[in-house]
Amino acid sequence: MKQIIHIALKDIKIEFSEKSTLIFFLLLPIVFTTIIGLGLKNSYGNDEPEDPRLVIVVVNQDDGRYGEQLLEFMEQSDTSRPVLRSKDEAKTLMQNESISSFLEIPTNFSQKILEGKKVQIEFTKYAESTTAVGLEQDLLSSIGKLNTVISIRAQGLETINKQPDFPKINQEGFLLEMEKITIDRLKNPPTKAISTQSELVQNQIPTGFEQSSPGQLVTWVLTTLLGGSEAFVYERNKGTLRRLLITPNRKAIIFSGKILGRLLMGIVQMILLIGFGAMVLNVYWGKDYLALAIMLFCFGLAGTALGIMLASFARTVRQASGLTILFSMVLAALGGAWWPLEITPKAYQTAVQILPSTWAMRGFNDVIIRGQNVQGIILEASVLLGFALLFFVVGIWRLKFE
Amino acid sequence: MPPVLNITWKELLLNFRDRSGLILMFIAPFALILVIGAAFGGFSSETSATIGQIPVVLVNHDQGEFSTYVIDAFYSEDLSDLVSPSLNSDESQARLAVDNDQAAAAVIIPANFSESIYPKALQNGEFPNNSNDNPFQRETSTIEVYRNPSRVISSGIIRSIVDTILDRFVSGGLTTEINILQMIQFGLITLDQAPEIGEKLGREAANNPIENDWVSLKTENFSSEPQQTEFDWLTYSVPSMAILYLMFTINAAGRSILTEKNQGTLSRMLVTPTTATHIIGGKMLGAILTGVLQMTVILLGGTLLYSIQWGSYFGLILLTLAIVAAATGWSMIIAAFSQTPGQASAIGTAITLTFAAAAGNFLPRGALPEWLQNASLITPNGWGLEGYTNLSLGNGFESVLPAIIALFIMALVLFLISSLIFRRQYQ
Repeated sequence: MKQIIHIALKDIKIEFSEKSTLIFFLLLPIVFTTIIGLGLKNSYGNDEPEDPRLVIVVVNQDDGRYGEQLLEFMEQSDTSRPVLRSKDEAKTLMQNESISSFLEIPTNFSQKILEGKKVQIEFTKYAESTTAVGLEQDLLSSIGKLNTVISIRAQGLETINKQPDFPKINQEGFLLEMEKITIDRLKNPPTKAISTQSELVQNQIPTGFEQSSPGQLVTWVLTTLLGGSEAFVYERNKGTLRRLLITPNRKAIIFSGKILGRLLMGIVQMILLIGFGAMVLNVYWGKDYLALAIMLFCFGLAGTALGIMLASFARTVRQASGLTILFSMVLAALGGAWWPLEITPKAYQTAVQILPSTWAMRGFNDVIIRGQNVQGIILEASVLLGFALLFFVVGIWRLKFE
Repeated sequence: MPPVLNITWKELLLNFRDRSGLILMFIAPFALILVIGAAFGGFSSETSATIGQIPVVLVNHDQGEFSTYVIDAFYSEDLSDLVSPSLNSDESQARLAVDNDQAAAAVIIPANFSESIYPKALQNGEFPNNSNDNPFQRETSTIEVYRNPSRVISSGIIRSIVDTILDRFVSGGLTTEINILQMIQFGLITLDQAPEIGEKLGREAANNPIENDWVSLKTENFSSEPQQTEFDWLTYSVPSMAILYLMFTINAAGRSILTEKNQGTLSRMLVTPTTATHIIGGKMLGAILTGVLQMTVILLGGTLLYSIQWGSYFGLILLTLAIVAAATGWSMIIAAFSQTPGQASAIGTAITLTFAAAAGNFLPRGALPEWLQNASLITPNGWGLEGYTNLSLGNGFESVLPAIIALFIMALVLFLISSLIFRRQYQ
């Protein structure tokens, strides 16, 4: 055991003998987590703790009560909230791709309704935007409520017209009162829907940083862990592995030391990035630290094993370096570390289940977003251990020390 | 052959004979372009898919007729692309499916749902609560939408669908109810007359459903005036990944000066009639040609893959030359300030990735804060992405002229600084 620890510490020392290692170990992951978190806030959440609902930009050109009423119904949604902007501002925001869509309430909207005319309101969106699809559905619900108010008013007007004795002066009062009661009843209708979540969940809508923090952790820790392949190939090509073999240490001890060294580097990196996320970006990393620790260990082990497997395929350090960058980026992107998997097609979501990064992201999301405990991450942790076993078996089978 | 071209030819041979270099040059960017294509639903810019087939579990505790309308709505043709419903009689299993991320939401319909919409007593013309305030007072029911917090958008859509269905029920019920209430309030009828008139109005409402589409939503796809096509993430991914991996490739070229210096081949070359200017010039030309070839292959492949229509092919060629020149300038300056190939490699990779994150190579540039979009204009990535996006939106040559000028100026300034440093180092 002592020899294993010595080899592990030696590997860590060599890795950090170059100051540039810290750039990849800490600096770049922090830069990426921050920038991508800022970018995701527009589409994922809006990072305003007091109101984390998605923003829907509204251009209200109406000066009557129905435009205002629609905004009031939209405000009652628990998915989105309206934010008023001028038409030029909304267009500029769209051109800059800062928003996915905006709603335009036309001039004389209320007047036309009072005249008994049908009115269209325009929802402009990017055709491929997932957020816009969600906002559109939410908007239809608010429009449905407004239509109820207008329909009941129309029905009331019909009732009045059937009552020849009804004094003309009372007509508008009668209709306004009907609208008022309708709006009041719609706030608390006899049949309604409520949204609930598991008691374990901390935030209603996760922030951009809660997506970017685990996502970039997976990306950059994978780079560190797969970087083990580069170190291994370097030592093999330089002959230092051969030299180690003529010492009294067995192959298994040398091998275990190298695995331990890489795993420790990965775990330390994960702890530092979690610390940065929690303390600087206010990312909630769950309440069950044991569950989080299990996920970190299992992900670390699977990544280290993949690094060993890559080392068995690479002949030169440059090849290993190329494979490290290729695999860490592609695995992270595919596994949902760069964008939430929910916005991808169903076939894609199914296909990426064969990747360790997908299971790592699932496990981290279980802990952070779904607030799960150890029981909730058993499946993800087991699958990651399975990947680790598979990669180790292939890696050891193919790996050459000389 | 002049010495500069000799060195250029040697650089090209070295670059294209290196298998691992080829992985970074072509396979890695294409792999990521394909990943983005698969993730965002298609390999043609006309078929970019949005969210769909949202898994939702429906639990119906109600025995009445109205809950079947809710279930039927989820199974309707209108929603068949958007949702993928399944029925489950066990509420705890439905919640477990959401907790285990197998469903975006569970919709749980309570046992008294139908009764709350149209009480049996009311159907028989009886008011359950004979109060002047609200003779229609009856029990309430609540449909629970148990949401998956990691599927914010999908579960939000499910909630909105439930709201829209319920609004129709509520609208129908409230119409008769509020009419009667108002007629009593305004003295048009007495409370005793309410059941009879209510039944009549209810029957009329059932036979002649009132219009409920006074306000409708017209959905338009965004297109600003001068642009013929809209922003597309798939199209964007092509120049985005091309620029990212161009920076990696070009950095390696700059690093090769330091490798030759460390291995002693540079000093050997300098004792020949070849000057430092020839050597650096040849290496720079080699880097530029490699970069141009790499960009051409990736842009051409991406254009065919996603059927991209560029606004100006002349603009596309000039922009590509400008971005390769600017990237080479950065590579030279990194090499000039580095002591060893390892240092150049680390600094080069760090700068490449920081530029990529700041300029928008990993997510649409417009999603970044405005200050970052402006700050990232010191990078070739920032100008390059702006230029390629403009061209992919159908805009002409004039739209990319500022980017081309900025990139050539950037290249010129960086070349001048790096050549001054190199001259001091090698003469």
